[in-house]
Amino acid sequence: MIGLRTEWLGPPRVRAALLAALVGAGLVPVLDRDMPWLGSWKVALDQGTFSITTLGPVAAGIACSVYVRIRRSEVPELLAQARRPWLGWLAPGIGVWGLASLAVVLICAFTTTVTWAIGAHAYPDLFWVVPPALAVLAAEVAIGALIGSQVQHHWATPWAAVIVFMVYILSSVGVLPGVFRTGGVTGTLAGQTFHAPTFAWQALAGVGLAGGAMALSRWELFRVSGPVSRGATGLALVGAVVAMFQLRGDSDERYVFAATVQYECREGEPTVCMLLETTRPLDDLSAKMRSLSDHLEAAGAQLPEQFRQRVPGEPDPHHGFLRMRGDAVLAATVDYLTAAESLAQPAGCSAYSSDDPRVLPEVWFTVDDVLVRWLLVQEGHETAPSDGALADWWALPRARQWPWVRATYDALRDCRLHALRLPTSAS
Amino acid sequence: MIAALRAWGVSRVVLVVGVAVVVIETTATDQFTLPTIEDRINGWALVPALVALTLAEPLVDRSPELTEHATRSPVVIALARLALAYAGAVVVAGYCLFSPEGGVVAAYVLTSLALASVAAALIGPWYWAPLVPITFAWLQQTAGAFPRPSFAIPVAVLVGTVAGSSIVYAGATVIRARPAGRPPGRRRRRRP
Amino acid sequence: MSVVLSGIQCTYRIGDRPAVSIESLELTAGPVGLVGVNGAGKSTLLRTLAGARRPQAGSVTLGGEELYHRHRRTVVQQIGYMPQEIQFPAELRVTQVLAYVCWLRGIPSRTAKARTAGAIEAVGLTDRAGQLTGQLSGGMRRRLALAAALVSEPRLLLLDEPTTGLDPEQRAGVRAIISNLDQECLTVMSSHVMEDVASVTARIVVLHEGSVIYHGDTPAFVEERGGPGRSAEHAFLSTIAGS
Repeated sequence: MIGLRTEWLGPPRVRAALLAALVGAGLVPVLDRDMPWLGSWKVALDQGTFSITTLGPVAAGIACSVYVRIRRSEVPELLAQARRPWLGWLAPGIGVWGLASLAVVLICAFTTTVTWAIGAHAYPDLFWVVPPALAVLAAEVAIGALIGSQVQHHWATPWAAVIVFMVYILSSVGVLPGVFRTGGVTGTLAGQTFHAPTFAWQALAGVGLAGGAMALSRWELFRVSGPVSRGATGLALVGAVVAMFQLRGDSDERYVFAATVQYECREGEPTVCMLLETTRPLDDLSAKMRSLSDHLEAAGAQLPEQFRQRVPGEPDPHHGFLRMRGDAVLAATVDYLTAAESLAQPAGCSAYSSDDPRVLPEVWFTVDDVLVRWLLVQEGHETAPSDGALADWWALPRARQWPWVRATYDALRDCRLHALRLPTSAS
Repeated sequence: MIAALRAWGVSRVVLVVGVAVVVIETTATDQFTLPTIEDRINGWALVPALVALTLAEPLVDRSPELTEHATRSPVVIALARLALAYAGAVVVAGYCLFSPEGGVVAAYVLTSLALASVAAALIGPWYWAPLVPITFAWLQQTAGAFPRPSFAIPVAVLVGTVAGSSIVYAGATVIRARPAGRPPGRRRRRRP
Repeated sequence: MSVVLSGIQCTYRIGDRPAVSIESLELTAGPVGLVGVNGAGKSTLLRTLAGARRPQAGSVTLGGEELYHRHRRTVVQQIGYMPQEIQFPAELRVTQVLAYVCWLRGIPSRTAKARTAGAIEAVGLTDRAGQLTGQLSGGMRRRLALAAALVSEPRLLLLDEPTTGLDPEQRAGVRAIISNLDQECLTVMSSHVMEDVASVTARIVVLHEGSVIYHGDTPAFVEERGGPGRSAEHAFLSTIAGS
């Protein structure tokens, strides 16, 4: 039997170079502009498997090249006389897949380790998302092998890479079932986890497609393979068809809300808590919020004890909630605007997430804007406007602004949003 | 010459041109999103990258044993190969020029082939491997913007890029055509 | 055509034993056998003679012209070289491959057709002329490689293991082709199958560890060193053993 390893790829030096090339190719989508995945271990893991986007087509090209070489040699004839010809035929493909899988695992290890090293909470039990991604990689390698084996010309190699890359694009945009999408979340995955059934279907589809493509790549050998091989491949193919129907719909089902969430807090006045998986900006945010909160306390406003990162869909009127965009949640530091906006929301009122626009009074938007700006002006990060309808109020001494600030903040904290009023110079 | 064009895959160049025209007609003006890329990608962005990945294929010598013993100048062979690839690219670029919004893309078709020819000069049959991640990076960087007029490449830059890359490719072909081994009397001396 | 080698040294890596080290060797028209065990330097010597591997020292002259000088191509024009392994564009037909070789060799198109037909006939591929090279058997591909070497009507023909991997009938066919070549052409054929060399060549060069340890007439070589059975194989082995 031909070695199950990577002999077909060349001597160890060549194999090392190919591994480096695969890692290099896979790192391109990972090391994008801002690397937001540094802020969350879960996102880092997801980004690691996303490396298959570019690594997969390269692996498919390598597989294509290897199978062209095999088909143009006398090996298929030799294999026909071997004790286990089908396994011998699969061996080079398994070798390429093994090398590419090693590259994916290395990239995942890199992203998660870096994220962990800079302080993110690790969830090693979530590594189960890697094998389904490797099953997709197997399908891509098998497509490359199929093209190489059928075309039997080396010119097919770049075509195999292009075809697999196009399959990924068509899968991502919904023209094909979402089998080939392996991560690349744009959100924070805060309070979320991976949706196991989707990954199971994806793994099944990947294995089935890989088996089918390999069977087609050398039907003569597959036909005479053992009943176990044929049966398993047939079952995997049936499973793949079912899985592709399952994955035909919305591919966003890869992520679901976690049953429970945990917080990490920085004690103080106020105490600031972020979800355990996204604590990267917590120190900076709590320091800035504490600094800004001094001005509210000077005005006599009563702050809630705790400000928490919000879990979507769960209004919480007992705590203030952090108003942070996705990039701010994953960033190392936040700006004062984010800290001020968070302080200006001392309760997670249900009106904020209501589908009925009438629940949130129109005046809230202006009041929120004024309060945030007032905080920034006190801290010296903004200047008070000298024109506009509220110019007179802005011109008042600080102590005369406090009553409006106190009344507004109390109303916001108690979710009495219809009691909100714009400031006047008489206040 | 026809025999050479056949050997280098003129039929595949024609196929690429045909596929490119179909892509331009069907998806060039469509917009789509890809994971991790926030802005929408214009279908036009795919054309230069995919054309370069496939059209550079004739630049790879698949029968080096035959070429090694050629008596025709390697520069002539290199330029003939480039002419075949660029002939296909020029047809695609021309088709872009006559399509709405495609004016800017035409220059990118030629520029991306120039990049691919440098890759072919440096790493031969593996030229496509770095182009795959470069294609993704290109989609990432140009999402939401390509092919706005701000992407226009000045003619001088385009000509310079094509000429420069062709020189690199021809130079690599000349170096490969040289007999192996070091010529007598040119041994490097160790410094005392 | 005559070939003169003097002071040739071919080394792959600095510090290594030379792959080929020949003080002086002159080969003249007619078929010459180049024999030696694996790694003796046969292929390196043939590549050097083909103009594809420049020696670190020494000179190679073909018909009085230095091979490795600035106008190497004009000299190489007279050489036909059949390497041990050769990749043909598999999607081309036999005639198209030879037409491509003619283009690479700068043969004008008006004569290329006749040259191609002549080479195809010489190697007995006439009935396969329209077949794709990817569909040819190993033996047929060797013949095509020989045709590619013949198409430029060389005065020096270099054949690296032309009978390797062929069945006895195919080997006999290749031997017949070589025997029928113009005797004015210097044909150097490397092989480790002594039977092939003895039956085709008039002279023989035995290479061992990169050096020429025998150069002379093939019949005399077999006669003097072939033992009681006059075996070419025995002659070769005794020559190697005695070196």
